Amino acid sequence: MSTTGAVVLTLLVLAASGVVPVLLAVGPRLVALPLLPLAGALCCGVAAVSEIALFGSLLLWFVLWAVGAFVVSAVVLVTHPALRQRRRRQLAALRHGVRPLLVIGGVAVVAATVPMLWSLKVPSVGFDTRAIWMLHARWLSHGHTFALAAIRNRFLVVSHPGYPPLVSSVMAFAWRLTGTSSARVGVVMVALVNACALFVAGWGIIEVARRGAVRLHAGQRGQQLVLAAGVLVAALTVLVAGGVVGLFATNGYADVLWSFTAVAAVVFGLVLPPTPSNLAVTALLLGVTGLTKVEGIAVAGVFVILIAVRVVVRRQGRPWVPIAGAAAAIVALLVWPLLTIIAGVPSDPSISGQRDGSLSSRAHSTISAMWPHLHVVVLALVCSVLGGLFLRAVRGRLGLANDLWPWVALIGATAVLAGAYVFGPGNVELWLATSVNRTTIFEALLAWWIVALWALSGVAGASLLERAQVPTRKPAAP
Amino acid sequence: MKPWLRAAVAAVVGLLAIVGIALTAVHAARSESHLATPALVHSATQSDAYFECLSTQAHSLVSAHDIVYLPKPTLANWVTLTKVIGGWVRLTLRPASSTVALALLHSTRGATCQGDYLVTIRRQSGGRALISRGRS
Repeated sequence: MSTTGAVVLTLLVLAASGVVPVLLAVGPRLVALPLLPLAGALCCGVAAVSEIALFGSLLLWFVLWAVGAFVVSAVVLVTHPALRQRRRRQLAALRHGVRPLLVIGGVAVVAATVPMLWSLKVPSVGFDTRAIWMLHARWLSHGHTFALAAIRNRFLVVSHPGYPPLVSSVMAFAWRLTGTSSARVGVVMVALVNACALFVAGWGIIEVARRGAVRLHAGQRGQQLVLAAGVLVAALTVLVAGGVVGLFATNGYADVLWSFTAVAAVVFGLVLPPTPSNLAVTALLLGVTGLTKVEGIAVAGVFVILIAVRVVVRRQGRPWVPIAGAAAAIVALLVWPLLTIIAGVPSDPSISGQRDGSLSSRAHSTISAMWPHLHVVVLALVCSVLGGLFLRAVRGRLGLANDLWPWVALIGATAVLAGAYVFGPGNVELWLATSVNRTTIFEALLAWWIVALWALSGVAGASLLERAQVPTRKPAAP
Repeated sequence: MKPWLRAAVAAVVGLLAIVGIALTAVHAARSESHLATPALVHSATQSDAYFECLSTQAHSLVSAHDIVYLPKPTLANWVTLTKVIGGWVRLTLRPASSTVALALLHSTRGATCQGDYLVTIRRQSGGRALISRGRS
């Protein structure tokens, strides 16, 4: 099978596996479309964990988990008539048509994602892709016995066998499903899953504009202006994101996927209202984040706690529901790290051994290395200060959460990542030189998204001018 | 604050943010077009060909049932060999439990993968060793 055929078939199967659970949890929203392959990828990751922990093959576990999710969703639909009716009403509302600007928005975000994929013209397979992700994918494609032996093999410690399996499982799934086990198929699959995640993050901005335009009460023209600004800002921010990630989007590295899903999780979980649908989107995104990279697990854990706090603060009564949900999410995020401990996976050389240098010198090196990648934080800070002083009311009318939430997420994630460099083992200069351009992707992207949300708030505030002037106009002479 | 002043400040914040994003987006779109230059395509193709060639050599020397020992590799060779065979054979740290030893060598003669080639050493009956060179 050709690379294109193999990739299209895999993407369709991944998407098909997620249709019913995603539509049930998220509802018939446009954001559900790019979430389908991501849900399939999450199913692959969970299947890989099951394959290593228990028995069988990746394909077997993928089918079991996909069928299980389908059955559970069907049972929930049957036993919850209110949910069924709500989804039916939403589908009926869709039949009345979608706003043309939203369709244009979808097309614009897809078009803005394309430049990121231009570098697929280069048949590049990254160093770590071959040494880590593709190697793990080969292990997973051989079944339980081989995969378990491989991740426990001390001789293979240079390939970081304890890294989470989602990206590798998507590659292995594509190979096993299509019988085309080329490096190219694996790399292109990861690039397309990255593109889906970027679409979700970009769509989050349009979602903010869509909701805000209605709540703003700025008149028909004001609504159109905010929606149009949302489309423009989303498309431009997605273009920026493509530039931030560069070749890492298309050479099979895992850093881009967790960064995109984490940014999207901040938008849907900490900026937009915490409706069940938005929380379902967030849960799926954090699942992908936590099964993609080790730092993704830590950052997803921080976000789960933040989202739980936000929901508890907003919610009237029954605080144990979000607390129990957060506890379950934390337990789910810890399954992979616990499995690596129980299975006796050899310690990752980058997170074991002696620490070189003093804490202060390591902190200085870390800040010096991270800073060149995070200049955008200054722009985000300026926008946040000005916006906080003059646009808080507009932000509130847009229905957006306080800007402090994404900032706490940004600071929390930066603390986790910088803390690993400062308190971690080994030679920090070498560690930073080989990784800081990738580990700072998430922080840079989140800062851009903060800027984008203030851009929207600014346009929304300006659109209120006309409305504010209406009462001051003198009535025309008879 | 008067409504028109509030709206003006909002416009300034919106404009500042949009201009910042737009300028960076233009820069990003330009730099992305430089990520697919012929030089990069050539380099990536060479790298693919190198690993494809080593993989073919490895398959000509080692079977999936073998337990492979790598005799004192450098870090670079260790990583390269892991990439080539680590996904389909078992590797061991103990020569005694291996069925074959595999090494990555460099030469300008014979069939090589951009100057590198693989060699295996197998124990034969009678204590003899069979040395084989990879075919690509």
